[in-house]
Amino acid sequence: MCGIVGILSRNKKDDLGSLVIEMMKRLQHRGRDGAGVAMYGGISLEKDQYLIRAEILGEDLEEKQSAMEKIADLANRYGNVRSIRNVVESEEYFITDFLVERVDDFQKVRKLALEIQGLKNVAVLSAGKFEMFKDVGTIDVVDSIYSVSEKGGTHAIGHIRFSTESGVDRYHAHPFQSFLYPDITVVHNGQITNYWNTRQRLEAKGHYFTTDNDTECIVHYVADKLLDGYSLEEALENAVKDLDGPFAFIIATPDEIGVAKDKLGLRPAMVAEGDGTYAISSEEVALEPLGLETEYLAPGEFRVYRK
Amino acid sequence: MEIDCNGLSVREINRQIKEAVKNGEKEIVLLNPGAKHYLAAGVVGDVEIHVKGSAGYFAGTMVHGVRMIIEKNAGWFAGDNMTDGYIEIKGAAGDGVGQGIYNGTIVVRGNAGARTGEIMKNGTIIIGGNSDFMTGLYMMGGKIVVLGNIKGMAGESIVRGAIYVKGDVDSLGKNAKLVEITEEDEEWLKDTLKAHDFPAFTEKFRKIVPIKKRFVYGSAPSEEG
Repeated sequence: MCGIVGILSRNKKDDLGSLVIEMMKRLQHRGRDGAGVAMYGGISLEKDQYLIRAEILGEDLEEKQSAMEKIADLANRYGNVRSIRNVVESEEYFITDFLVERVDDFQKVRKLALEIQGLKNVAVLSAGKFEMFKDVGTIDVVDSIYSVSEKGGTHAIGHIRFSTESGVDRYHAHPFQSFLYPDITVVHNGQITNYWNTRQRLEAKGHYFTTDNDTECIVHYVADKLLDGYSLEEALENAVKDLDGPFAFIIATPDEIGVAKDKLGLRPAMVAEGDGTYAISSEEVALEPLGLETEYLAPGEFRVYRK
Repeated sequence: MEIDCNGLSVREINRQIKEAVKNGEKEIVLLNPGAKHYLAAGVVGDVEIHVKGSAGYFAGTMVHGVRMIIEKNAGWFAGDNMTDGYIEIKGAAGDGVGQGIYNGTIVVRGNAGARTGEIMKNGTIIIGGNSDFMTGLYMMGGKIVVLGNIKGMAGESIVRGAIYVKGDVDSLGKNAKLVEITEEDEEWLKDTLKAHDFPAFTEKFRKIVPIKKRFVYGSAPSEEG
């Protein structure tokens, strides 16, 4: 079933994390397979600095440390690794942040992320100037691991997962990122039934898929349109025409969040607006804490909110 | 009596409602409903339930005899499978309002989502605003009245019943046709709208009815009325 939320404020909100977590808790009934949040504007990085968050697996500590060293070696070829920090350390895996500096172009970040992706025992969870928090289980699990509710920011999107497509693991949890375009992420409720055709068309244009999850093709599709010079509104208008199946999805970029709903209106989406805050959710129950006027999205409708 | 829904599970709220109805309570006010799902689900009895805010999915599902007033919005499937009673939604309704109802009346003062009155068997649904995609999908009986417009594929695969519409119809679904209303229809509309405090009747309504009363896949629709 899946539940999606998005919230954007014209000004940075110190309580953005707690708001998005509260919204997601209210959608917990929609799934328990995974949960995730992409949060923007909460960390300040210099222009040439990027944060790469990776999942590192390994039989033992030595194997994990070896993978970390390989990531650092790769990153030092593109720039300079300023710091390495384990966000999560467990016997099975590490979630590790690599703060890389002296990288003058996001395309280099993309190449680096894809090279790291190719390493054994490693999966890139995010790369850019935003933070990604995602894991299997409930939103309480994600919040307890990453302390999302203690973080501030300008906007965020979140996802409660009921898996109907692809694996149940940290890597297949939403949000999904496309490294094609800086800091673009998506959360999605539904199925993209022309997934393979859409994927083939995007792959023919050189886009690289890192999972077999249908949601990933949405973020690549929209990133592709943005790279072609479309506005987010135009990209979403085209997505509603080109993507088949039941869906409602929320896209985030460094300055915007957008929502789109399928032509037959088969997945729910509501928006709430007021006082410089814009929020989106599968259900009104998640918008209640904001106390804003709510509105249903019509089939095939899309909206974009900017900072 | 009042029930403050804040902090209560839906199961607990509905248990309190049913207990109160059993004890002869005639009026129950739900405070801070918080768009919770299944409010008043399965309640049977002569009772008025005021929801002081928005309700979530399946508000008033399977009620019988209940009069339920929702002050703001209702989520998907309000009044699903109700067998008798009255549900009024003062704001907007989500998709599938009145799904499969057997009897009773549902009034939505604002707009309604897609698939209004899907597979309804009997009863009446009145939409004060617009009604979205596939209104009356697989409708098997009863009446839907839309004072605004209806979006695409209105009356898709309708088998029985009628959809009265005052505004525009984007397109008709399979087995649906648009006809003029009769004098009998007009009288019914006047009485019904007046009874539910809608603006005075004007003779602009048209009616969507089945082309063929028993629609069978693969057979060509024919004019039967």
